[in-house]
Amino acid sequence: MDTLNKEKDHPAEEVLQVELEIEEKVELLALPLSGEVTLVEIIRAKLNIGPDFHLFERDHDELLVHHGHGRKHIRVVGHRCHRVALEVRYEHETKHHHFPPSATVFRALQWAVSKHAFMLDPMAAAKANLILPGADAPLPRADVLGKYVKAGHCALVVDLTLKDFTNG
Amino acid sequence: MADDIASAPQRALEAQLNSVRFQAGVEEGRWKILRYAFPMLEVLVTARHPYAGKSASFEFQLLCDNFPALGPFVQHWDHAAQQRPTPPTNSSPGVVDALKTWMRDGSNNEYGGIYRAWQRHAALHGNWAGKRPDEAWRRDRHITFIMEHLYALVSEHASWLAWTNAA
Repeated sequence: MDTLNKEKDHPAEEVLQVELEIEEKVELLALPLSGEVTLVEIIRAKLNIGPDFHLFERDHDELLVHHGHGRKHIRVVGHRCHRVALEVRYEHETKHHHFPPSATVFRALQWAVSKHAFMLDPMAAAKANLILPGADAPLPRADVLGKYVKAGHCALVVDLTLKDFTNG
Repeated sequence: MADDIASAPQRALEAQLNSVRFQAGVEEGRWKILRYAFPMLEVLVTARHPYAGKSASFEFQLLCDNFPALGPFVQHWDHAAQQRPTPPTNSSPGVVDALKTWMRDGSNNEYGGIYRAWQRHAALHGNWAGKRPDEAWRRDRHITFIMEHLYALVSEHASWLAWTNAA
């Protein structure tokens, strides 16, 4: 009974489990949430993150404001860039698009092969990868673009390749 | 009591299934556990292609014995029928290739699973994992590594649906 009464007077605190990826580090946080303080404010205070870092939900376009209803787990990316100017080169063409630094390589690849960029047919799209110029392996698709942005820059140049990397 | 006697592979898998990165995928609607009885895990993966405006869902079965030392055996699955469905022919070349029927090396005509470098038996085929270490399973990988690859496969199918509808 006492427990029930306590919960009635002071409802159990909602806790959000957060995985924060920031400057090549991953932090796991269990954050109590109240209705008055936003998730961003709590994360900034907890890790002493200043306004020079922008916080995004991983693979979402907009800045993180608050977690959605019913969320108990969220992946957050912190980055100094608000947008990454992505330049994708393929054959003799170059296409540009702005992504949040929290967008995955996979999402950038989806854009690059789509009608919004190089409009590859399904056969070619199935072979496509993004690769840093001069690299010998494609970018891991689950990585976020912000991971490959050089310090002080908010731009990234990659090549779209159809190379079969299993053949050396 | 069952928890007390869980094996190390079972504990490792369940820790990852309860992790933020796996559960965030559940809450975002990317994947859902349909059935779990270690070492077997059945999932529904739903992908929406952001630039094609189409979504698609596939079910998969993962066999996670000796996890994470051994990468999961993964196959396309029909959860209701409890069997592997007929390999699709109406999909992108990449999806058709990944879900084709092929027999694993050195087996007595045993199906090899999804034909991708990150899948247990395909990894050994032609030293695929050695040639694509970026796509190969390692014991320090997370189960979401597999889930993200499954998501990409379903997303590719969604893209193909949009492509064929537009044609």
